Amino acid sequence: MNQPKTIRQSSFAGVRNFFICIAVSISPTLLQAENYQDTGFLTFEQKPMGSLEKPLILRTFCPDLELDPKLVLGNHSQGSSAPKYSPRSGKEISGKEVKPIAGLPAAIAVNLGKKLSYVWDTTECRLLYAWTDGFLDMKNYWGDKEGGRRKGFNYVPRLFGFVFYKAVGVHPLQVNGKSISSFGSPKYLGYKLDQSQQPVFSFSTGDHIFEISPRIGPGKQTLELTYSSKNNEALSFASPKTQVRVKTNAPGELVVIVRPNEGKRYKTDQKVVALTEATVAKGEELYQSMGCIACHSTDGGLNHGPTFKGLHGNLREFISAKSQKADSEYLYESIKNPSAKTVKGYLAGMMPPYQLQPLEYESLVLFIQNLP
Amino acid sequence: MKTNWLLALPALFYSLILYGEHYRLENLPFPNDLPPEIGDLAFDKDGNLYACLRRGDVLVSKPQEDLSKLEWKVFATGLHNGMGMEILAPGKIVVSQMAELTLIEDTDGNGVADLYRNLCSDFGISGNYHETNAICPDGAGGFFIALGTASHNGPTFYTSRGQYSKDGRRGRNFSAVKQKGYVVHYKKDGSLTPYANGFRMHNGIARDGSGNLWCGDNQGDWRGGSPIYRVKKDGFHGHPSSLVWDERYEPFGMPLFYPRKLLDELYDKPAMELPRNMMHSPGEPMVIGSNEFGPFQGQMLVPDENGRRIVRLMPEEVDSAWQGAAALFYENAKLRAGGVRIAMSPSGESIYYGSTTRGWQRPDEGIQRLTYNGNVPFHISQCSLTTDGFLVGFTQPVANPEKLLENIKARSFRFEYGYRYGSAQHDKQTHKILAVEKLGDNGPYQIKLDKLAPGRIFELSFTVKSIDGHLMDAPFVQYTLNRLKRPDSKHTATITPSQKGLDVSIGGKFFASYDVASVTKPTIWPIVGPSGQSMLRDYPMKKDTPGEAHDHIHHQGVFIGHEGTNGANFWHIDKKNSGTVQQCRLIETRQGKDRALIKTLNAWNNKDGKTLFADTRTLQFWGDQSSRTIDLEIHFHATNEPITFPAFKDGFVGIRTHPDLRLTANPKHGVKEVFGQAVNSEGIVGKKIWGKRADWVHYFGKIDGKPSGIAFLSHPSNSSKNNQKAWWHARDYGLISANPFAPDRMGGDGPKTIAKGNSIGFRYQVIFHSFKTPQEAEIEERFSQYAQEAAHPTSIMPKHPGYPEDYLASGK
Repeated sequence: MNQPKTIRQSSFAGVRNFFICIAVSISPTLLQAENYQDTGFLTFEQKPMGSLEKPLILRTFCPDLELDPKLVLGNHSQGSSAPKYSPRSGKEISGKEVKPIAGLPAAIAVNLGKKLSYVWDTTECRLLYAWTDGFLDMKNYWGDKEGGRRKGFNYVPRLFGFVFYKAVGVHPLQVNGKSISSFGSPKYLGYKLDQSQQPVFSFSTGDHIFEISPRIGPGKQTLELTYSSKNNEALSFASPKTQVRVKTNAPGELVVIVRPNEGKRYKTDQKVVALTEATVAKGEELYQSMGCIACHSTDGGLNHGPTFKGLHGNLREFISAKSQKADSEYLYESIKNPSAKTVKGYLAGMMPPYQLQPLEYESLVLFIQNLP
Repeated sequence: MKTNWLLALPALFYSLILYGEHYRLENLPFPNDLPPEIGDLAFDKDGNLYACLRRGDVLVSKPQEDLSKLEWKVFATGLHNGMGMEILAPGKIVVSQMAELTLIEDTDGNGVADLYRNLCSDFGISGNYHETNAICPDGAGGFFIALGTASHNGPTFYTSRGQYSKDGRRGRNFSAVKQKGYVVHYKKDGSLTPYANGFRMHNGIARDGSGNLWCGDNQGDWRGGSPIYRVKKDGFHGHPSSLVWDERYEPFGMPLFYPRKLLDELYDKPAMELPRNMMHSPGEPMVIGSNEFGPFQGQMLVPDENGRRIVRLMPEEVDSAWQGAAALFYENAKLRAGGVRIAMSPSGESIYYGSTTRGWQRPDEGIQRLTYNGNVPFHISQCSLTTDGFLVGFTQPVANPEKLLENIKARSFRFEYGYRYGSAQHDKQTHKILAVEKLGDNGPYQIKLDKLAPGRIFELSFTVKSIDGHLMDAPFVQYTLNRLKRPDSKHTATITPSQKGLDVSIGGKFFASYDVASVTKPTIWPIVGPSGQSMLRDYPMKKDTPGEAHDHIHHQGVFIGHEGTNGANFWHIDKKNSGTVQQCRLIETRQGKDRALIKTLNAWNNKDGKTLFADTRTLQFWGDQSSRTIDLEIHFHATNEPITFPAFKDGFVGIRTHPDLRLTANPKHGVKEVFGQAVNSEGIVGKKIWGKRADWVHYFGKIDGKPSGIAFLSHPSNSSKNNQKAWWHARDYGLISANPFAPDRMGGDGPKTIAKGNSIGFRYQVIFHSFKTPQEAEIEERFSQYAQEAAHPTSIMPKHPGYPEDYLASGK
């Protein structure tokens, strides 16, 4: 998606030498590209992207993705409409109001290339959402190279990509079984970069000091979150409607794998070509890119969701619905509205509803039907 | 075609020939596609130049003589619109970004930062794009942070950080979250305290070698021109939005709609207010710490955010406040627009000029170097105020100095203060050059001019050549004259804080106490005359002084109040509806010269503690061998509701004199013998002066056997019915009071109502003397002189249609 561009003049020497000398990633495309992952500095590119080798940390206003204002954004204050003011007359214009807009004022956005982007917030001191296949479109905030104009009342950068995790409920980190939300407002302390150049955030609540490193998880669209406590406290992680696997848990350190609890594609002004027909190949691509693979195997392997192997045409038994054959109609429904029926032996409400084009649903169904 | 050439030539000449031969301008190269939007610039001790860029990167390089080989490295990244940066050590910097003050450190020594520590995020962030922050060191390991306000050209978020104020959200530039429009102080211990408010967009802040804080403010609403502030601790710097976060103003409601005269009274005026031919929004001032950059060491340079010029500032302290001159230092079409920051090279020969424009004009950004080549430019090197004009010096000897008088033009004007964006130049005057006196072999020159007055901006233009035949690069200077120079005096007036308020002394001898703590309304008591005599009755502040009658317990020293105002009794202190007057802010004090000054803001509260309206009062104190004077200028401001002064005889500015100065004795109540006589300006004597109109009343006689007198003068500008002289509630038992609201039936002026949003002012003067005879006191002469004296300077013009005071007065 980053079109290589020819550089007009080669005053790059300084920067290139610098990267050679400090041994930061040297991409072979260095001289032809203008994005952060290649240059190592922010450019006029409106969609800056980092990479695994060169993570991009961007402090900017961020979209709020309609997170719960009370439970998730409860440490923020609530803005309000203001009377419209006329600088000409010095008066307020009766009956006219200026409304606030949605946005996060003090968050940190991190991008590791297409595999993971996330927003960690310094006010709530928690991971707010994560996505793949994109990052932030800064056009409305930075403007273009020639004009440099931000978009008047709509300048919050746009997220693009596929959001697979969104924070829900109170702070998921618990000490001795109690959410740290109950300790009072958290205080953001800062971050350090680890050897992979990824941030380790630090914050405190009351006397407790914590660190958290969000990392790419073992499966597609999963997160590995490492929490540590300065006081070696017993940590646990609890989030409603979110599948979590504890990887390791020792006093003062907890590593969890978080699976998707959301599935929504965000576009910016880029036009997405509408599909003209459903195909197995497209279905397979979606299976891999949208995170289905994180919970549903195709080889019978056990996971958070039932395997797709041999699924089509089989009889399914549900927790609280009449058994039925897994036909195309059922498959379509279980992608679009997964909480309608839950297969026996699995937890209800764990799979997020996926919002796709109709032909994308059909492609996925075709893919599943064509599996052996 | 011909016309175009003619137009182009002077500009070319101006920029290239005049400036070019003294300072060399070069562009610093950047990699392609890198937006060099400069947030701040600074050198570390090793000579590395750090450039903080607004998108988030901090670059570093070591500029050499040859800039073409300049190499940039990325030191840090991930910062949100960082506009303030200080270098603690190589590899250790502090940046003020939108959301926080961040310590950034390279802990492993590889040249790239790996630790980003949040030093402070205890201020709000609303989501508005305009809330950028700048910093300067406090000299003790902490920082002052300039927190810019939000702009009405953008929204706030549904979710803000920090407390949100609905009232703070109102207006053009606004302060919806804490403490936008402030300078706050981040101390090394991690605490954050408010330092000063009333700023709009102080894009840059600097601390000079003496510890003074300097910042500019963008042109805009509530700014007549482009102000340059010497930041005053706890001061209000003119833009009202941030006052919602200051509890001293809480009693008076919504600051944006305060009476404009009240805001003008509270406003700690800028040291300089630059007109548009000089500046279109100042960036960060930089103190010239080197004499390798031309003969300007100790002065300041400030870039123009919307122009291709750098202005040189020559501030000075006059009568306890800062003001001074500004001159164009450098103007060149090749200089980038949007100058925000200047850093001086370690060698001191060059400055690095950083610009950014993204967001407000066409991008024209980067860093340029300006290097002095040692040829002294022909400039105005100094301009300071004298008692009757200005002292002006030049960097080179002037040709034909004897003709200088004919070659100077002087004009002055005032800016209007108000909600509008910028002000026209009002009340323009031209000034005659009365004399030019050469002080040294090559100057400076003492320039005397007529009509020198405070509250004005003076512009001096010169048509002169240097003896080498050079024209001046920028042949004019603008001096913002806030205060005249006070003469030194052997009767120096000084102020010292006391437990109750402030004590004033004249020539080292105690004169008066301004007491705001032990009484329900501020009073001036005691007052000691030039011979050491007590001028006032002590009761009730002191109850055991012999020979005093204990009547009228509300006659407390020199006091201000009126019966029945807005339903509250501000004259008597022991009635059911007696109100109180509470000092909310000591706006300023001045001292150390021939006169001391106290200016305060006060809330007038009813018995329930509800604030009804405000006053601002300025008291001046001076004296000589035979007299002591207190001058009062008081303005009432209808902040919370209209003010209604009803027609009562019991008001308004009162004095209860020493019993010896009474006209009649009262043996029953302990006053056995009196020595007072009275006369007014109309020649009426004795107790008949009560209820009469006069310019002044004069009580005289002996106190403790010493010749003594008290003369009370009402300024002729005070409001009265049919412009008559003042009405006096002046009694034979020691009360002298001027009352502009006495009942009609007593011959007074009747009631007065001040509409909400409006103000009314009164001026009085009281002379306490030791003259043996009333003639020697020359009260009529003193009155004539007083009548000529202007009130304190104001930036409110007599006519201001459409301003909020009219809006509020119309009942909306």
